[in-house]
Amino acid sequence: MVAVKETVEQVKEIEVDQYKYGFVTDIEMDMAPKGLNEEIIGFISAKKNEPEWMLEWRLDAYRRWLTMTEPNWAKVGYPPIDFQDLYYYAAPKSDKEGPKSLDEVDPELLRTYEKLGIPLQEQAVLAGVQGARIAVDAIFDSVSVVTTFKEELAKEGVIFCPLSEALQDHPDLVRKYLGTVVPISDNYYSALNTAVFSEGSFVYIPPGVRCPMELSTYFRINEAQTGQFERTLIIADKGSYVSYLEGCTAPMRDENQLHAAVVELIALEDAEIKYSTVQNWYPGDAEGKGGIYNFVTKRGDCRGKNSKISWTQVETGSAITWKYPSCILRGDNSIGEFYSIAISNGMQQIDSGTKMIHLGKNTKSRIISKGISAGKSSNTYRGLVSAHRKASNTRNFTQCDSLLIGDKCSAHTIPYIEAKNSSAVFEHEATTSKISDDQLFYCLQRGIGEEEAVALIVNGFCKEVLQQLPMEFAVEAQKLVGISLEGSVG
Amino acid sequence: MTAAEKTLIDQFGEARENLPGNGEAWMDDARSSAIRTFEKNGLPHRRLERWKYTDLRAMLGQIPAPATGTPVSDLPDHDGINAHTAFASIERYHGVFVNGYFQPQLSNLEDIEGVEIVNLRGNFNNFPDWVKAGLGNTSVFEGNAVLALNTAFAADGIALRIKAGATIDKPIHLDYVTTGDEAATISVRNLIIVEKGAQATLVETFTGPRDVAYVVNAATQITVEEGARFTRIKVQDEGLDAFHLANMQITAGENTRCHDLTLTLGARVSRNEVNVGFSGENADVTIAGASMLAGKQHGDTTLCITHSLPSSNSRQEFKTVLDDYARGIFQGCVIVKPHAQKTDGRQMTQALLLSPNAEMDAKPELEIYADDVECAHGATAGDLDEEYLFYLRARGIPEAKAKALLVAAFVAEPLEKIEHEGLREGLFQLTNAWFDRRKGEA
Repeated sequence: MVAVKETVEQVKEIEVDQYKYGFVTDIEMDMAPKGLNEEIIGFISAKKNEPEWMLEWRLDAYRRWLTMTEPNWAKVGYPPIDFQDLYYYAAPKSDKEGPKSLDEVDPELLRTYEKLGIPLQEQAVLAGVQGARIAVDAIFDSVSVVTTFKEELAKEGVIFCPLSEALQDHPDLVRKYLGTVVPISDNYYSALNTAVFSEGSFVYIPPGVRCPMELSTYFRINEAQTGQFERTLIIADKGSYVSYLEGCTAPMRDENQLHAAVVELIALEDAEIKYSTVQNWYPGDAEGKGGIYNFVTKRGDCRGKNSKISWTQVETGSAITWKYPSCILRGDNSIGEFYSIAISNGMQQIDSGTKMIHLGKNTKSRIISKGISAGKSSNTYRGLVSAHRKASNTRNFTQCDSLLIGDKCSAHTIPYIEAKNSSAVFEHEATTSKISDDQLFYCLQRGIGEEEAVALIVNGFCKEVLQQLPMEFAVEAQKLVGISLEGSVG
Repeated sequence: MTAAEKTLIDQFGEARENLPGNGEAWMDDARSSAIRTFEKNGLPHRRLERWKYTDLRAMLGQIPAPATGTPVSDLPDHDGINAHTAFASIERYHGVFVNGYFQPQLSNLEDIEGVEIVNLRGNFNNFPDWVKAGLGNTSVFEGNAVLALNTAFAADGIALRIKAGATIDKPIHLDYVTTGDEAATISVRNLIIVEKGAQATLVETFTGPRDVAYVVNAATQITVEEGARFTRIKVQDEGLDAFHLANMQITAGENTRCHDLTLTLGARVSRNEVNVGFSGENADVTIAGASMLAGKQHGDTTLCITHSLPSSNSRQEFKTVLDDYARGIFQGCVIVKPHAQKTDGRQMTQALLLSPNAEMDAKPELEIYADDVECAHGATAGDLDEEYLFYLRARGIPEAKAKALLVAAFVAEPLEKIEHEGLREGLFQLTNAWFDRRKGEA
């Protein structure tokens, strides 16, 4: 109840259509020239001091990308993207070596993260009111700024560092797993990402270890005309557990910026990965000007027996979202989960959902998707549940509910259900409706204003998903739900 | 262009002269426009979203020549229960087609009071405007290659106008029988108008020889005007090597009630496409169906209900039973356009997989552009419930029988909603016969 009350208060405080992370940090940047070609890829690779095989891999991806065409099946519309008119590398100018400790980090950057509400100072986190400790990897445009709590994590054998660092320190581990879940030519944007990604987080949890704290990456696009291409790789070795949070924001700009990330999760035997995202990229203004194009490939591979991967996402930002966090349930008895809240307002377009691919025996999956569209936005759930011939005794439950606020928005549900095994039991249900007049009347009658009432009802509508988020995120997400719908009533 | 596509275009060139209405400008235009549409797009393939699960380009390798029609005096004997015999004992108006050609000498459609009938092979000069408007409408086959082919090749068919206020006392049964050992392509096109306040029930059945790879391309355009009530039952019981491609387009007017039921039993490959539109408010449309497939049958049901006007209800209820290597497909879409407030759309598709090798692909879609609506869909796929089976077996019912009982109960739901007792019984005879056949093979 407390959280709900907080949401209501938050809604009161914020002005209509205010994106509070829309500021720009004025900091000197080190940029690669505009455009995309083999030289730029070589430049990025050299900047990161990458081994030869990485460069080869990138170039291979680039050459394949050139032969591919942009996907156009999603229910989103946007003018063609000029991939040559983008900066593919932007880094805050700093010491060549990169910051060794927090003291060396540009204070301007630290202030940026402070403004965003991300405490990077370990002391601050420790003293924080939240009580829980979170290790943060902060990524600013193309590079990782700082990673906190590294030493404490190292004691447990947990590796949590920028991917570029992992390539230097743990090349074998990276080489063994990178690109094994999302292959080079998986899709147009993942191929592009493979060619040009400049940063990302790398997590390795050794066998039997339960990661002592939440791991978190915070992405920030700052520079104009840059694309952000990060790559996250998380490996949970046998019997381990990790909970990972991802957050993102960007300044308000009139142009559209591209964000094409790839996230690969690998869960070995008995391991569990919980991946939570609060996506709050700049959604563009009320007329649909500006905003981030969020074209992301996220996939988890339940490679070992009894493994589990759980995706939880709260999507409130981006002008266009094109994102389908998926689970490949390869190991017997593995479990995949997808909990999602997708909120679109203004001119936002969302085409998002999940894929649950049942390959192993006795695999289970669960999909709970809540779509809320307001303003003139379009919100599509697109999902696939499939059971392959040998995947006996699989089970899926899917629930997709859509809520429409206002008569100019739209909500779509496009599930694909493919049962190739008779012992598979698949259930899918979906509803689309508006906020019921009865519920609204009930609240109004008790003196709750219309906007607060809507926030209250929407929070109730999303409850099943919000409950899945780690505590710290849940509070933030609840607030976001309220804020995103600002100005959508009346 | 594939060989099959080329064959089709060549066939059209040859057949054109003998097609009904040749020389009539409006009909010639419609046919030319249709073949051009086909030439442009070719046969549908799996890269088209609507044909994702039924790759007609890959499946339809051989295109049999268009069927030729001769009047027949007698129909071949049918052994056992099939869609042709199941309704023989009920009182009905009977219209017989053999290889796609209407056989007036075997039919009694002229006797129906309150109905105007036009045969497509009749005198085009005398065609009433409503027939011209229906057949000449070239917008219907846009983006629909199968319907375009039907328009180009349609060799026969009938147009029925149920006159305003008329209540037709008996079901009208259009009985499509395919005969002979030579594979042929059969293209029939029907047009039905149910005028204001009229009431009618239409039954369409399709039967044919077992081992002949014939192709049936059937299309029916139905307009239901204000306040009318219309029920249509279709039984597709083609031979097991046949291709059955069907299109139905229905437009429901204000305060109408439309009920459509399709029972799919036959054909090696079948595609039943239903498109529903609205021309008035407060219409109530139910599109239901049951498919029972075995062997290597491939049964595709694709339907789309577009609510463009407010305050209508639509229901979709589909059951699929799959045995052996059969593959069932259900693609259902409910579109609610921006001004279609107060729409209530429900969709349910359920599949029972009786064999480990069967496959069900379902894609129930909702596309909603209006906020004051209630729309929901559900989809399930799975085996028979072990507990139900145990319950029956614990009461001494042998396993095979218990399974048959449960499957029968599963498919019965949409069939039970047919009000006409004789038709309902006929449908149950057909589903029972399916079980008997399965038992015989087992």
